Amino acid sequence: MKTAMDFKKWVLILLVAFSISATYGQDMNADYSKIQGEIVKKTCNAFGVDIPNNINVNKKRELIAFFNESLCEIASATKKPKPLQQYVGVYTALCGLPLLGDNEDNMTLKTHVSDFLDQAIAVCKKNGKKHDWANSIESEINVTFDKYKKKEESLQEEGTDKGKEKESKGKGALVNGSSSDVTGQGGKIKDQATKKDENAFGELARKLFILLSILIGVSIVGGGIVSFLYIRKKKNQPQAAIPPAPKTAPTQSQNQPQPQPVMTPKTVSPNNEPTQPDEILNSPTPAPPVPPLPVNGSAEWVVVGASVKGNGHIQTGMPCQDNHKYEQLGDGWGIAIVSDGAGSAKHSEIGSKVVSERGILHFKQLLEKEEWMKNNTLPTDIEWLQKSYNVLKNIRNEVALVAQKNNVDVRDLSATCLVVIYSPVGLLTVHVGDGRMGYENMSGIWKPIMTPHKGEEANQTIFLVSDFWSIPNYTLSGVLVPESVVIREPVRAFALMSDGCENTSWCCTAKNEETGKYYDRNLPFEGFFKPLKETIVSLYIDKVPEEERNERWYNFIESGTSGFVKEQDDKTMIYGVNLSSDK
Amino acid sequence: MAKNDFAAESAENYEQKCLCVLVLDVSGSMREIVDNSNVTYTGKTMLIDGRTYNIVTGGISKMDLLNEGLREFYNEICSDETTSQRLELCIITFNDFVKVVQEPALPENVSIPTLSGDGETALADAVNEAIDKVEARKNWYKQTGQPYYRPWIILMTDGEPNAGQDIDSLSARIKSDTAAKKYAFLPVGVEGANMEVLQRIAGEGMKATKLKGMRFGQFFKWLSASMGTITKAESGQTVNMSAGATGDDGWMDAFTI
Repeated sequence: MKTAMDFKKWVLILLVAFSISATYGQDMNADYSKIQGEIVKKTCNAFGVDIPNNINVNKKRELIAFFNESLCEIASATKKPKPLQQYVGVYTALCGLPLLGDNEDNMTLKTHVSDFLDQAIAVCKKNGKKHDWANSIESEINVTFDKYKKKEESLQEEGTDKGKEKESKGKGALVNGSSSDVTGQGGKIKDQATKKDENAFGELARKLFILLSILIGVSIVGGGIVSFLYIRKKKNQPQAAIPPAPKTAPTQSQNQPQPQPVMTPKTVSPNNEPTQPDEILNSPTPAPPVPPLPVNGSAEWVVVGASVKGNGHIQTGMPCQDNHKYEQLGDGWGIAIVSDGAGSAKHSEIGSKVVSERGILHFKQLLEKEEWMKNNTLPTDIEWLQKSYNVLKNIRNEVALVAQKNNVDVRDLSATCLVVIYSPVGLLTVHVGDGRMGYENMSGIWKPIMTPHKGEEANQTIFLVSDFWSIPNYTLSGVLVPESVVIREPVRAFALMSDGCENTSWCCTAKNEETGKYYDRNLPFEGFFKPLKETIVSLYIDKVPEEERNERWYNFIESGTSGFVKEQDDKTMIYGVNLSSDK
Repeated sequence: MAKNDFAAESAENYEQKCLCVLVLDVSGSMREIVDNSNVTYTGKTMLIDGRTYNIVTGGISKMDLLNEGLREFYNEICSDETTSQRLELCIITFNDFVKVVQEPALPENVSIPTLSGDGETALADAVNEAIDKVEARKNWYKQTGQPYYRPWIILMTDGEPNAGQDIDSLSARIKSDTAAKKYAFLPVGVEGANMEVLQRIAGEGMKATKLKGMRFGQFFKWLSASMGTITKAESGQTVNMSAGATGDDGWMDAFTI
């Protein structure tokens, strides 16, 4: 019985270790800690292990303390490393299990594993115990990684399209599996599992491999958990749980995003001559113009948007590096994107153009796929976090492709990305970088939506092409990158902007007189937004065409306030007003 | 105003800070006359900073030009609304000793001193003091939660550092600090400066530069314009160092970063 208990405890510890490693060096975000806490709890239940009452599984610090404590116990209780090796598979699999994203960077995975090992070894050394078991875990992990890598390479050699499709299927299954599979009933014996495993290896992408490893590991443990049939079913009926792959657009053929999302125009000469920035963006799949609002009042939103060159750019002859785009989708739904190209990047005006243009297409595709719009419902926080992460990553990959096609460094296309999907039931937002987003609720209160990602210095931020994608749960300014938010109340108005507009329209840094410290108030300035909303509505009532509305909006952003006149940085703002809310 | 014209109030926000530390050589050699159209010789000589000089009355010295340039710089930064609210100025002088003549402060709280020269060149001590000031100020910004731009240290010297000055350690410190983007360091040599030493202590991405002739005025004009750009810099923007710095009206001999 003692051994069985040890088994259970080990699984628990490994799960906790996973939770820690997945957020290694980062503070836990509420959403993530919920998922991870959920995994730990469910597994504990499945194995009949009690979580000590004083441990809050949502708190990273407590998990770490618990983990260290358990390690000490195990280190002293376990003289022989033999049974521990069986858990290597579980651990390896769990470490490779991404809660979000592809985690395709093996090096990152390895870092987490070695972090875990360092920690484990350190604890054992500190307690003067032998740590042979840790060494054997290490060698076992290395062997597993080699296999894993070979499998991945052979998969990549197969047709790429096919491989991609499979990969995303695997991912879909995995996400599902992470939360529900561990609680399943009915076990499989070891031999059977291994055979299936071998078959499956040849067929499935690496993500599924990880999942299988979990299953094997879990089966070995004897807790007897996951049904293989369930997995096979998933595999045969993949459409049930697949995250959207940017493969086909369900609607109008002329707007269909191509499988190869190349922004390079047909006019580019084949011999790789340097391309003019403007040419690069002659997209072969131009997004359709925003449908004009019917003047009889059946539409629900009026949206205005403008990107204006800052003073600094006028003086130095730099282009406007901001871009924006919005699109009304009907039924009170629509998408608005603002992208601020980095001043330090050579062609960031192209980066921001790709982000805003392609971003609309990708998010539109997501909306169609997920049927949120059709059902007029919003996804759960976690769902939106995962889906928006994947969409942003796809957009990032398109930016990288544009860079590659034009022989420029991807960092030359550095740009932020702020996305608002507006609907009759609320907002879905996600962003990478600085800028501001806010909304007015039905009680007339303006609220902030996002926390800008800021670096150490005042003018630093992170961009969509920055190297954070391989770091799980990367945070900046205390929030995830990307930060996703769901507003679950109908809104009267929303605004999103590049940082060039924030000094005028937003309450930013101020001194707290009590503490003497400065802080970012991050509040929309109502004196700015309220009168503008009335003007937008009156423009609509007076049937001023959209083009002219946007022209007037442009003039306002250009020189409507003294702050806007002085501003050196490019200024972009999209402002949307829900007409039906004022009826 | 027609109701269709957009109008709005503006928010009031605290300005982010940019620290600029001027490290100025006031050793005896700065008293060298550079315009002797109005000079009367006294017939006496004097040994200053390792060289023998005639003592004169009248004329214009390097120090006079430096003082004039500094005052113009101050007027320029005060006249720009944004810069005057964001730029914090700190002035450190050095000869035999290092003296902080102006602690970091916004232009409105700064009084520009009239510098006078004497003694030798404790260059490394002065630059180390400047770096310490930058670190202390950055810590204060951080502790109080104030947003800030990368600080600048500008060194102006016309001489050879004293024998006891540890140039190697200073060079290592600046190289590692600037590689870590802790601050930007610009060493400027005035006629007579040991450019080799300045080049050695120059940090990542910015070479030591030599003042063209005695163009202190042009240098400070460029500096105020550059500080204006920096204090308004947007996300990740780099400052164009050569704009206004080179060319016929520029202050430096041609240089590139």
